[in-house]
Amino acid sequence: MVAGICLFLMMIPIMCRIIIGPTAIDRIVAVNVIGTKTAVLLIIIGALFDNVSMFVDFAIAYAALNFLGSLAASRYFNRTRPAYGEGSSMEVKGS
Amino acid sequence: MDDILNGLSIILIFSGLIFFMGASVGLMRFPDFYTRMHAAGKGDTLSTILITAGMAVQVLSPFDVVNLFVAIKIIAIAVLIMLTSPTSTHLLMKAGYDDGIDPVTSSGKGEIIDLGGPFTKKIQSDGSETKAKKKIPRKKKSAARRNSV
Repeated sequence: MVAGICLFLMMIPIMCRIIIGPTAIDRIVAVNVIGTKTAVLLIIIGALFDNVSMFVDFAIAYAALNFLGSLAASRYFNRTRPAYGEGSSMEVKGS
Repeated sequence: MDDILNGLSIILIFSGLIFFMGASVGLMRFPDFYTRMHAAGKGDTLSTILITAGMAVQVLSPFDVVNLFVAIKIIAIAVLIMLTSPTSTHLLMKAGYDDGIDPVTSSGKGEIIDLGGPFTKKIQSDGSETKAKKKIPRKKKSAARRNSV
């Protein structure tokens, strides 16, 4: 289908952003976008193979793992400020 | 009926592709981390929802129970991405802000100014708030805090 090819072609500039991205978080954002689009592309591949009911499960798992990965990466880059407890941004207001 | 469903799915998928083209061009061309994040978050979420909705409509076309369940699963993917993609965008943006990435302003390369929002407000020991208008060197601050702990 044409839509899958278009989707793949539009992933190429995002891949360029992964390569040239000036900061690390730029790269994580680009990887997140590509992961989300891969979940969509899996559904399109399922429609091409006339087997959507199998590929949909792959797509669900891929979307959930992609979210977990980006969340873990953002936590890793955010670790210089403690998330909870002493000195946290959440607790400054009340103390 | 099939023609109507096919046309609807084609319209949805191609509008999703247009939004994804916007996201991709924005991610490539914008000058700044925050603006790139803006393009990626919005365009990615909306295009994913549109394309999955179009695929769900297309799966339905020989209508029976199995196809209905597959369509419900595809809609579940759309809902999952609608919930998780803005969340991860928010978390990554917060990580970048705490890292002290400088935004690009109209007068050249700017610095992060502590505007006294709810997450950066400091309250002194006598209870008076200091709206810190100074430009905080965030990396030094967090390093000092880490040393003190």
